[in-house]
Amino acid sequence: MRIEALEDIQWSFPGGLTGLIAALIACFLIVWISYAFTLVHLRRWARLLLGLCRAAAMILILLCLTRPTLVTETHLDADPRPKVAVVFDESGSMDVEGIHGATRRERALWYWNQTLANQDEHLELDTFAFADEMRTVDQPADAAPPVTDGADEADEPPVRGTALYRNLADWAHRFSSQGYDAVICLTDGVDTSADTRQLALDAVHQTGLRHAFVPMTTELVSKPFVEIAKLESASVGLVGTKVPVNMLIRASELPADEPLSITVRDDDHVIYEQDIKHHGQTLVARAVMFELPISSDRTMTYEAAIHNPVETLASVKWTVQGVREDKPSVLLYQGALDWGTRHLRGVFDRTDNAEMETRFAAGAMPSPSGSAYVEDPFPGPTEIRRFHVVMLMNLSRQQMTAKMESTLRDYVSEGGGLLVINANPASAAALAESRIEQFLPVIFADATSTNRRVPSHMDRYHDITVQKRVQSIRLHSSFARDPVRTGRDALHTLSLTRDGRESPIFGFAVSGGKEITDGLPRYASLAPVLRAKPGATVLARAEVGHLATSDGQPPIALAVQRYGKGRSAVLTTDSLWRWRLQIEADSFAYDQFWRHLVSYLATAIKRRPAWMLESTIHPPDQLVEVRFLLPETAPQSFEDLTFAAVSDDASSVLRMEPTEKPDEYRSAVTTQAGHSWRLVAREGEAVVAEAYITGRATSVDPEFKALKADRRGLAEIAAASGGTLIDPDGRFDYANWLPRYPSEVVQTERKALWHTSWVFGILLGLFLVELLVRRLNRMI
Amino acid sequence: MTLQLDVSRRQFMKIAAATGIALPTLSFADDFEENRGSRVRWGRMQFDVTRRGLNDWFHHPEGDLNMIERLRQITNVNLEFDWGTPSVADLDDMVRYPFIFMHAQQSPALSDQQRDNMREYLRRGGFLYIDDCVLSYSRPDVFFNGMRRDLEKIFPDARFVKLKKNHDIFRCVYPMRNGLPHMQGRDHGLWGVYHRDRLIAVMGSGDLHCAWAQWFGPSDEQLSLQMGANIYVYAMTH
Repeated sequence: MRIEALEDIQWSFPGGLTGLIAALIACFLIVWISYAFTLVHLRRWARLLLGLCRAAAMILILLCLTRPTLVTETHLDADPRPKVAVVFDESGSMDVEGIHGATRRERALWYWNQTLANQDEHLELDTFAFADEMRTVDQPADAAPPVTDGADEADEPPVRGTALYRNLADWAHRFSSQGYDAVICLTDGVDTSADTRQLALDAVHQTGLRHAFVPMTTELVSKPFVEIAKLESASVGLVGTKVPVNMLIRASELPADEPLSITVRDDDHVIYEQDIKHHGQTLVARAVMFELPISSDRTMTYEAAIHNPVETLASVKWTVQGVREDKPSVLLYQGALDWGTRHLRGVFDRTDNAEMETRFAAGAMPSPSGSAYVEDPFPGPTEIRRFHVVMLMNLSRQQMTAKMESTLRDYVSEGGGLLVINANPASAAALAESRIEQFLPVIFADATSTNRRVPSHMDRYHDITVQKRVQSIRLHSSFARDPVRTGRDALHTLSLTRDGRESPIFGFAVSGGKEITDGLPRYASLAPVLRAKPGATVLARAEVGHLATSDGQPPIALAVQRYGKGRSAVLTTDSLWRWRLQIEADSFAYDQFWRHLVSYLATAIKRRPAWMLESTIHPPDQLVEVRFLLPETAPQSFEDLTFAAVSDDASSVLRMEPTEKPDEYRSAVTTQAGHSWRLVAREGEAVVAEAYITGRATSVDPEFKALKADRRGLAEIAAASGGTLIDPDGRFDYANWLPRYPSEVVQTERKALWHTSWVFGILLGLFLVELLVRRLNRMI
Repeated sequence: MTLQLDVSRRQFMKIAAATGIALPTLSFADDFEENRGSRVRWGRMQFDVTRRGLNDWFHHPEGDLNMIERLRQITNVNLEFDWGTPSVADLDDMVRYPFIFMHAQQSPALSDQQRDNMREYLRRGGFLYIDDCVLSYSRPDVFFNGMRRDLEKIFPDARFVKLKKNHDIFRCVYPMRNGLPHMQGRDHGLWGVYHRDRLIAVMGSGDLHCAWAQWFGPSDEQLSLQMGANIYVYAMTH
């Protein structure tokens, strides 16, 4: 740092230099005219003296008008080089040997030595290193010594994970406050923590600190891995039914021709086997769905193992508690024929999960003379108790009797489940202010707000056909070849509310708290309702574009509520059979939706104590919340129960705390890699409920799973910060990348050059000379 | 001043008829749909047959309209007075229709991909009604036999069951005491195709569809429409 004084003369005149020259010319002309014309009678010396005096006075006055000033600036010169933090990634993935021998860290050091270390003239560089946490290093070579995947070597220190996004968020704020102008980060962009890139993006956006990434893209020797990332299964299943199981399997860096398969076993048998397709080195995620038959009323332990012909690569255990109870019984009572019947029977009637009885209300089935069809009466107060859930599909107001409404109200209030399905705006509107509306979760729209449907363009042939003149139409073959495809065929996707995302009904369509858009139910038509009742829970809404509810929100598609001891629900869409036709035959989504919905509605009758786990398998060393359901209808009381988490070599008491829901309690367990906790709820010595929760095995450290450098992610963060991605093999103009610091002016001194007393003295002297000469020449 | 329109008498009649018919249908559609379920459209399958270049799949579309109208009159199915023609080559198109009608004279020529489409459609819960249009007296059941061979390839584990006269399909709407009405060709009766205990298709060789199009007189027309209604309603409800 040094101090320097710079002097400069500043002046100003109206019109600038041009104005000054013009004024000088004018002065010269005045002096010359006076010399040539007004002073011609004077003696030569007096004439010359007066002319010179006037010229000198004019020039002095003009120069005074220019206000010449001497400006002296005192500068304080700091280091003009921008201050830059250079951050080295020293995580485990940087120490993996590349296919040509060198690691990414060695490549980063080479880049430092070859390129960055030479930028001392242009940049003021401070060096740091990070893996889990960031630290200051004097020299890049001071980064921690490399360690390897030490899973099999007890003496090796653990592999350093990479918390790139969290560290980046931290250093963005820290460096910004410390006056750094930019960050140069040498990393492969691999983040093995649970943080998301958004964390880093938010930080660079807030601070505006410019980031340049030098991606270390050295290709590494592959490390194959296979894992069971997620397992969802009901912890309780009725004997004689099947419990759906969803698994998510991830695999990468495998030999392309290595066969991979999954086997699911109970204690004695192989229940399910399937080959798993993979793409060799590319990371693939495969969903595996199957059903477990529940054959006895005891707790069955299942184990799913992924293996190649030689060894088991990953495995997980879980339990399903078989309970003996009548199959859930569903009554489908219809007011009009609908293709939903066929598909609902496909879910409940043709599988062993439930029994569904289909009945038709008066007028629902055609009954021409001689037909075998006999009208099915609605069950009476006693018979209806046979059913866990009653579905009323396409039932119009005219088909409801007072007795039926009264029976339904008592049925629901005593613990039954009721679902009303009606997508016909006219029929649904007719339910407004009906008795059945009193125990449903929505207020139906009145008839004036029905959503009119568009008539078909073929309707113009209707009357001709009715009049039996179809032969005369002889519809042309080209017309028959032209399939009618209109927007009316397009299906709309349900949009889940927050309650919907948290509801087990939509568990199949939610992952990590977010909707899986492709997995959400789709519908063709909808009957808008006015609004949900206070206390009702809206689980799904329709797409934007339909009529909104009275509170301006998108129309309600599925709403549920408690009524008495039971539950009621309204589905304002069709019965989703078009969705069933549009999704793959192997998909369980449609079946799961209906089973879950029926299970939810029947809960008041069927619910029993059970552990509630979002997934059976979790990452290791995570604190996972576990919930226990103790329904009001259960014979046990909370005080009589004890809870424990038991593993092969440890046992600990679980302290369950109440949750926001009156019948749920929660606690937490820490997962261990490759180990399972058995969660047990006991009443005395009797096991009331049990479940397993497993920590994902770490045969391969997460640090070595995704070995491909994430250039795209780094480019995104760099762009968000106004920075850049630097090619490690190319040239980069560091000299002009960041602006240099200008010197700072600490003092400015101004001194007028002409507005001084002696200038005015000269002017006065010239004036006196003028007077004296004039007097001597008798001009005054 | 006289306004002169350059239209023929035939064109004028068409315009007048269209205007006269179209206006009332606006209210007709709303009245029709009241108290009915979800809207659905009749589907007629497009497919190729072994005789190349022959469009064999779309005989007598007016018969389809007759059947549609009968279903609309006697049931409360929300069936559009319209049809679509899904192609067996386009699964996305097929799945718009829960019930697809197949009718031809020649043997079907389905590719492996088309068989896969048909398998997927039926496994998702779709339903096929297969009716033979009867090629000739000497070869009366070419399409029926061809479709059976194809379905056996598509579902090797399917059960082909000749439906007895006391089956519900013969009485769910109209009582058909003699079983499947037979119009022409070889009488195989009505066969049900079951896959895992689910009826996925029915197939007959009696050419009911031509009777829908009034090829065999009013009595047979009524009988064939009644059987068609039984098949449609049974498929919906099972």
